[in-house]
Amino acid sequence: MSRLDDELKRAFARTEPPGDFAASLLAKINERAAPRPALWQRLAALFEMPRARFVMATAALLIIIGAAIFSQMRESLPETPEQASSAAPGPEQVKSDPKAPQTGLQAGQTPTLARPEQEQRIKKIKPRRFVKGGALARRHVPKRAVEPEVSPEAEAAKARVLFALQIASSTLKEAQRVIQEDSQNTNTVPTRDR
Amino acid sequence: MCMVGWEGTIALENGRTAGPEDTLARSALGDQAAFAEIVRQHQGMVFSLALHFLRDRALAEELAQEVFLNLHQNLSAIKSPAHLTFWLRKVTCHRSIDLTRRQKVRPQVSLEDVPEPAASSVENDFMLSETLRRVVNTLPEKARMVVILRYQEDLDPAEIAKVLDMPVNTVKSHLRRSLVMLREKLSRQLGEVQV
Repeated sequence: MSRLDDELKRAFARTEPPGDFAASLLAKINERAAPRPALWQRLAALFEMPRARFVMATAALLIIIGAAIFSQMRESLPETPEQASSAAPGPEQVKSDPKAPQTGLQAGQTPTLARPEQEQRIKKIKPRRFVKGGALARRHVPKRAVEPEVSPEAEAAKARVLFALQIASSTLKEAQRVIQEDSQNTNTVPTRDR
Repeated sequence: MCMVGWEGTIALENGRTAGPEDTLARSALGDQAAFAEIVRQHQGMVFSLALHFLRDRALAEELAQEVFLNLHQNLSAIKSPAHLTFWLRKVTCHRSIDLTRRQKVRPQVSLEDVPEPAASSVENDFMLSETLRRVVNTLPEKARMVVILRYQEDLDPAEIAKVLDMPVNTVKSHLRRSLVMLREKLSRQLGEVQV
């Protein structure tokens, strides 16, 4: 055997690990051997978080639901008067439609392309207030003068949103009251009893 | 029950001593004292293999603990004390190689880039050992593990081949090339030493 072999054996001699190696290993084994909680226990633990957090989570959930219902309600409504009027058949369509009701236009009367119910709606759009300045004043008429027809579904959705918001606000009030009571009770407990 | 100092034997309450087979059997049945004895017997081998390969004490200790935890989970599969030693060597070697590949613990350095040792290191065994370890550390992973198993565990090429799952001839060629490189490097620097 050469000198190199001897030197290599000396260089790669065994080294002992730190003294607490076996103890820490056995501690790890005991830690792993601890029984794992059952699934139902882990699920139950989710609801054992502090009360304030639970209340906040509930309130946040209610607000999210309310917002979703509100956005759904808004989508069901027509956004602009143009969209609302486009839902009705156009003047050309009225003309070409043989089943459309006759307007019964008399001689000398200004011809219009709209149907009688559309005329009624257009009358509603006219500004009701008379402001000095005539044509200039008409420019200040608010654009959204048309009151869109609200469908019964939208009304129902609105009512649901309002109900959900009422529940959310009452839950928040209740939570605030409970937290205040808790804090008062904590403050009144004598130091030696804590 | 108390444990005595010499390897592989536990003194039982009735005065009888338990051999390595008994220790293994009892640890497989959940006896913690028996398992602790197994750990004490083999911790030096496992830790040293990891330390010489990784050259990082903390990593080596962590890896050794993982190996023993793995052993604890697989005790029922161990058939004999010889199988236990073989299993520990094999798992430690493969885990060390995997860890190096995954984390790039020791970036491969060219043999030529290893710093030249001082002339006085010839007289200093510690310095020479450190130089050898550094030079071996520049070898590729498998070749490095072959050298460590050969000189730390004193295994012959056939045993090394079994541990590392490689042909015997590959082990022999790894050993031959590694020693040639080591001789060249050291004879250039430590000319007066007959290597």
